[in-house]
Amino acid sequence: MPPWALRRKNFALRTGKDKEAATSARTRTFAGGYVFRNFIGQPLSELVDLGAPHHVILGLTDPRGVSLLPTVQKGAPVKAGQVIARAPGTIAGILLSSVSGSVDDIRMTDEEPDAITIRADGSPGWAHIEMAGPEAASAPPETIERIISQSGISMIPTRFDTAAIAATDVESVIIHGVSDDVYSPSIPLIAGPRLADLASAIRILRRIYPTAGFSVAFDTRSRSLLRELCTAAPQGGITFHLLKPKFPQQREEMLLPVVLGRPFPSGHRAINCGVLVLNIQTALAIHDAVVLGKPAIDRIVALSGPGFTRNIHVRARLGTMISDIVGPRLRSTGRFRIVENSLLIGREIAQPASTPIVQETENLIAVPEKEEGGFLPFAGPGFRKDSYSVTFASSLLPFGKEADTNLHGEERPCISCGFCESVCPVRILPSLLHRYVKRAIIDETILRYRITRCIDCNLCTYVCTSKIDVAALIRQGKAKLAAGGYREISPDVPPERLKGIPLKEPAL
Amino acid sequence: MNGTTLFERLGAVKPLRRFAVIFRTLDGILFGTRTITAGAPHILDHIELKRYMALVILALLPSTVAAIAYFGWYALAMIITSYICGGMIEVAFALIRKKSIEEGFLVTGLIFPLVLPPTTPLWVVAVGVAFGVFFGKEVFGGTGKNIFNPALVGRLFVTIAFPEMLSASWRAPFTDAITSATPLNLYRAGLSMPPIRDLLFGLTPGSMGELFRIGVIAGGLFLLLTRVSNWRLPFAYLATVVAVSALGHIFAPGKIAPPQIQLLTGGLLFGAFFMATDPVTSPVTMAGKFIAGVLLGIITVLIRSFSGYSEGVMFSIILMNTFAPLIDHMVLAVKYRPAKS
Repeated sequence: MPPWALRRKNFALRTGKDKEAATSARTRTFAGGYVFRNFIGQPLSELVDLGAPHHVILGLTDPRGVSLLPTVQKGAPVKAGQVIARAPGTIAGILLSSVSGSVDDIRMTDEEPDAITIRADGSPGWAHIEMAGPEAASAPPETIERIISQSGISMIPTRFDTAAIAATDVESVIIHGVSDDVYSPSIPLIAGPRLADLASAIRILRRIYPTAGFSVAFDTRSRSLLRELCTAAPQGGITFHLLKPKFPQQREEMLLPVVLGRPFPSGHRAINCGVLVLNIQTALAIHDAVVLGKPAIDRIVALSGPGFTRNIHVRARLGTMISDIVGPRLRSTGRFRIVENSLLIGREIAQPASTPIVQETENLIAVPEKEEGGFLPFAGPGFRKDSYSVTFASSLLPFGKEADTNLHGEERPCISCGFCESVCPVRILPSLLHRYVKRAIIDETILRYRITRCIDCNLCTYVCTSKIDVAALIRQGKAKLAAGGYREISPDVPPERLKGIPLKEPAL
Repeated sequence: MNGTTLFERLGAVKPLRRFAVIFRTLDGILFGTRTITAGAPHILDHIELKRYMALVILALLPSTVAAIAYFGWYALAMIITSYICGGMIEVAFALIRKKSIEEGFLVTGLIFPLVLPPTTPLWVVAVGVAFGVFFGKEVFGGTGKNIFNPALVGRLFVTIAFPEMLSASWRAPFTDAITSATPLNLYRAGLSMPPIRDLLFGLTPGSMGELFRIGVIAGGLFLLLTRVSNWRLPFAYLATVVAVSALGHIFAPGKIAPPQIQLLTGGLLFGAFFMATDPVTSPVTMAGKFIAGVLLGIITVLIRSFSGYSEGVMFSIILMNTFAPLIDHMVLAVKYRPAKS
């Protein structure tokens, strides 16, 4: 069975009340994966606007890795939304200031990534994007594309910014609101009050990608939202999907096969297949830019995990120091690890005082660093312990589960229990592959066993009974293969069908 | 990290230093791990090998309690002997390798006495478990690297080394009379069989742990439901036994026992739920588990019906252990065909 083969269920048959959405929505999912349930510290439906912080730090590298050159001098006054850096030469790409104030520092050293620091003066408002306004939504595509390219939202193909692919190469657009992780921002909070704006964003995108197919995918926890959006959205050409909130459904590697039924090109990006994947916040930012003229200068960020006194969402300016956001809201007792976006794949924020939030930040998680195991930790019923296996009482009882960074066991040799294979979303055999890498057998064999399909979701490490970092070994194997000059055998998507410039060097 | 524990301090005392492995193991059992994740994934599943093996022991509890109830304190003495002798070998190897004592032995040490007749002398138990752990596991490099199920290696060894004790002297629960006839022997001799109820409760001669079949089934289902063992292999195994024996009984009723007799006699249920499912020695691939189950079923019925032995579960599982790598190899060869260029 190919990895993109799906299990589909007719959603209309399952719940009668969803008849409206049932015309097009079905619950879809993939084989493998894992549903994280009932973790304590889920972000509540509560939003606090933080306004402008006293200073922001904005990186001078765009998501493609292109270095931007400052267009402002140290000490110069800037307004929120004003262009402060541009990509060199003919490459498109801009950086906007997220606050009004003055340029405090332009850091261009070898030790740290280039960045601009701006000291805010506290004045409200932002620089309105030229030509934007309610009438712009029905303006010619060229106008809309110019507004988007000036809005600071990166990676939207337009005729002014074709760095990834040309606007005419966009075949499909997927807008998704899937919460699949241990902690995810609240989709109802972000999308709930703004369904009309989301519908407007779809209308705008359809004007600039007239030939593209549109898909909107929500997880089953936001079923009613999808139903409402179904009525609010423009007619025709849009398919609505309900997805199981199963990790790692949110990744484009899984959205492509599940939503579109297309194989994902290992080591590349969805955009190289002509598929533009947008999350709800980005889609709403497009509406805000075109209709309200508001540049993309802030983000809604969830504060989740047991480390916060209250799990709220904040609206924060890009470039705000993470310590400014989490500092006053952390519990005073205990030591916590701050992780960006995902406990499974996110990076640890070791220096929150000098790390700013970026356009991709949507969740800051505080988990306790637990350096003790407790008494007889393997023996208790485990009311609050999460496990893929059904060996703890938490699998049967609805108690909230605790997340912490303890290993919960000692490393042991692999006993081939098969858990990693069962949860692997791309249907490879982690237990087998990790043995090859461990014994340094890096050759065609693991290539034939499809090691390149691995999407680094880390689920195999999560479920491992023997506490082996399976995913790290597989990553190592992929890196060594690439270093040894091996190339993927018969990739799922032939390279000649890929479009544009690869955003990152393919792993193989 | 913060402060050393009692066990760490004990392990640092000079004359005790060579036993540091033992202290580390004890510390792990009592107080868990003090290590935290190094990076993504930042949190880990709570399952660990201790929990995993503890669940298998829990599932074996009905069989164990029944064995002690049926055969008295002697059954308990056999279990204790097995744990002590096998445990000594396990600890000795842990000390030589300077690695923690691994949990898998807790299961081997319990399963081994449970597959022995209740009349087995204690010294045979000791020799058998020592042989099984040493030649079945340690010489291959320890947990996870063994080809054969260590408990079965021990059982096979004593069966061949001491045939008169291991396959000719049985005892039914609550009796003292030694008999040479298990229900499977009775069937082969064409004699009348005990009622199904007796087979379910295990009131017939047989190995200690396999008898209380209601408990074996409950324990086996428990393991399947908790995902500790994979359902594919036992399902395929039992289904094949039923299918092959149903078909065979039509053509050779005198030789091949009908399905209900096959299922409820000998070590079939115990073997299918607790021994064939050993993750280390059964095929890794999911398709391989099905194939192994089917082969096991066929071989078991064939041995039971046509060989010199009336019981075939042990031999078929050992055979399947041998072929497990080959089965996996073939499944992988089909699943990942070389690219057509």
